[in-house]
Amino acid sequence: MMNQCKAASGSGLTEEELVVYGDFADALRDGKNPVIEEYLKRAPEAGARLRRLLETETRLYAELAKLRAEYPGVDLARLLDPDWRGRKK
Amino acid sequence: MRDSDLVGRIRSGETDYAVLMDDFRQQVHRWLYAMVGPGSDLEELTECVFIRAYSRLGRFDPTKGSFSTWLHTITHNVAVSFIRHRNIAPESLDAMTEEQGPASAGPAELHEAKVRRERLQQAIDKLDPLKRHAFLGHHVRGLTWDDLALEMHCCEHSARNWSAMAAEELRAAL
Repeated sequence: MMNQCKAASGSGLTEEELVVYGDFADALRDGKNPVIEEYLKRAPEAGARLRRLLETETRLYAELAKLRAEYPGVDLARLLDPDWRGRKK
Repeated sequence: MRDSDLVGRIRSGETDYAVLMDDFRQQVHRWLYAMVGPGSDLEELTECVFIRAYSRLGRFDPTKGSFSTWLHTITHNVAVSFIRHRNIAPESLDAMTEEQGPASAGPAELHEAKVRRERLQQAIDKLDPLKRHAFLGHHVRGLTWDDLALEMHCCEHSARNWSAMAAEELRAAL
């Protein structure tokens, strides 16, 4: 267990920034409309990078919502995961 | 115990159906999330899947495939019914103005959707496997960081880290 932790500091984000990022992504995942400015207040030391990341998250979730609308009933995990796409039925 | 054995025990009354629901609840929830997206309907839809599965349990034939595959088919059908209903529900019209499904899409929109989908697929394909796992786990399958960390055999901090790195790499595809 925890064997991938050593390698997982590559984003360069601080612990505080990662918590903010994680909570923001959770809100989007749960279908809420989180306000970036509100989340940035929780990490006052954060740089422009965190803001850009949260903006990217918002766009990613919007893109996934579009795909779900365009492919109703399709399991997006199967559509987007190359391991699933390459799997023989 | 194999799933087919469990189904047999439920049919014969030796085991309660709730056992099977407990075993598959998270899986069904994740399938539904990946199909219909976030929302408070997920719990209700999950119940709907299990009610439908229970009423059809007699039709499950283990020689034709696994129970998981059979349950996935039911989940898919429930999701499609829900999406069709949602798309014609008057209260959903505001949310649907920019997100119309293929039924109303013309050739240009369909082409544009295909290009966007392929661009995202290619970007995801290029991700390091750990970053891809984190991104698909949280964003597409709807896992919590806790569950994702468990699945990836790492800590939550690392799961967030992989996901953040994935998001940064996918930015160019948006």
